[in-house]
Amino acid sequence: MLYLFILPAVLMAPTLTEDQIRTARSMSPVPPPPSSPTNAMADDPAAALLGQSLFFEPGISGKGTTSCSSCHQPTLAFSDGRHVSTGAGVGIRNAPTLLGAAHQRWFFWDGRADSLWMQATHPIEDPLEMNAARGDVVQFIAHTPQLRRRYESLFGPIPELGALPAGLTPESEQWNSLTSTQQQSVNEIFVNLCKCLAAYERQLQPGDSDFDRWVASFESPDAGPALSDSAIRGFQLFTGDAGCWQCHFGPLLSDREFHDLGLPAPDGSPSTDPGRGEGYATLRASSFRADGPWSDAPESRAARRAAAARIGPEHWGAFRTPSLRNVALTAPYMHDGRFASIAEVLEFYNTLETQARRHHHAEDVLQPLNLNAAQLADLEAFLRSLSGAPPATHLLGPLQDTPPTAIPGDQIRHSTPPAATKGAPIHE
Amino acid sequence: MMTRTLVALVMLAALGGCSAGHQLAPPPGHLMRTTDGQWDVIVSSSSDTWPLNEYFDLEIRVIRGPSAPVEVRADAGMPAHRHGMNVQVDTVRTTSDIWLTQDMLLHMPGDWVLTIDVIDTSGVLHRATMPIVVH
Repeated sequence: MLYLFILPAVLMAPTLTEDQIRTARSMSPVPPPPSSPTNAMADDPAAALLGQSLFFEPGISGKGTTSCSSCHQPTLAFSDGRHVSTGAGVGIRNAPTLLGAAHQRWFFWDGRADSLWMQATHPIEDPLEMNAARGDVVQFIAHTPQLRRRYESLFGPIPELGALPAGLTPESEQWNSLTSTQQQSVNEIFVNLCKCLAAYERQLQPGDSDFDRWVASFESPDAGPALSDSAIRGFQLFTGDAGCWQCHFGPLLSDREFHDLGLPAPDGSPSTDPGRGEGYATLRASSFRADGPWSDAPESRAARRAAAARIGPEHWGAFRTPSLRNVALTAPYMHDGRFASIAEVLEFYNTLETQARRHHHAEDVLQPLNLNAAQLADLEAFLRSLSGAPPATHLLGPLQDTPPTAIPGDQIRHSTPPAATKGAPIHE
Repeated sequence: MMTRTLVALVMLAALGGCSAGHQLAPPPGHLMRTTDGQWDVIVSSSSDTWPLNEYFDLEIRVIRGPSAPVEVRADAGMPAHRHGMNVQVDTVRTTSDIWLTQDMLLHMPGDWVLTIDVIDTSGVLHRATMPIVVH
């Protein structure tokens, strides 16, 4: 007899409250990226083309074998599928997706960059990533005709720098043998290249997902297929009792800030990774920050806001909240890629049994979810509904007219004269 | 929350004549009183609501007190979460009794507490707090 009352409730599609509808609308669609005043080239199509050339160019790495796309692979939603990234060495952090990266307030898991262009300056020179020397990158551009033409069409002639010593970085002894003008030129070219990389990456937007089509169907029932009942229940849990929405909200499903989850070290003891506690110091020590000398708007409100970041005891061991857009495509998970599947992530949050903290300053946001298996499956169904179409095909690989690496001499046939490059359509 | 705001606005009407040096009616805002009852401030946000994870400014108008304050500070935190804002804000005097805090950021939804500190000429800190809910 009891079943007569329960069965209809089980079979009924979940219904949404006004609050839930309002919340769903606040999460979709993904808007265009916010402006980037510290990068004058951020929305320049020609800069984006140069950035795209550089993104897939291994020639700007120390050994000529690694490019940005090595760890941010278009076929893996611009992540790499590894626990931690491997370039010139083995890193300590998982490569996040670049889809939607331009929406972030901070970059890297520890927020050691405050702009997309500043982010690009790190991996090129990181000994564990591309391990390039700044002077070598500049020389590569200067001696690769296609890249040089693109660069000079944007920024003017590359000054005559002479034969820069190999391995030239600001930290190297040879750096002091350069004149201040040479140092300035090397830095300026390097920064300009990174601003072009950012211009390309700004175009890597998350595509519409089943979730977006579901939200659009609130206004227009023909907009697309509805979510499964399981995914809708998962959405209700996500934005309700499970509390995921406290940190994962808005179109990116991220507060874009930092939290300490108490993830333990591999042996179960409290982690020793300072996360934001170190990232903040790295950011402030860099001349590439938004309010620094290489910013195109160091006095802007955006730069002042970045400079006003506060670091407190609770930020030790904290990492940036990742976007959950395309989360099903970007395994493994967490800052060190410790969880192979969404189910493993949910299991951590469900019990918090493995949580371990080194200090008493941590914020107190997480509580065990205590969900049953069916509820966990619903949450996962919702998360899987956030997978969107990839960016346009022409953004997913090197430009057709760009060689994979430098070719001695000017043997490259150019499809577009440099003078006509600026303002050209993105698609070549 | 709504009730609290309405009460504050009603109180504003009663306090309108107390604002020394200001003939104009104070702008809509939230009345906050320090815990010792010595100071009243009206806090107005540049946003219609308490915005979630978006920067906003606060105007703090000191409308009652035993003397001119030396300094005013604004801050906010989530006591239940045991964290504050992730930004360091400065509050600057714009006129004799109006102070401005730029770029406040309430980065999570939920229950926050807005804190206004008034420092008097003796260096004593007087604190007013107000619970706010961010959706």
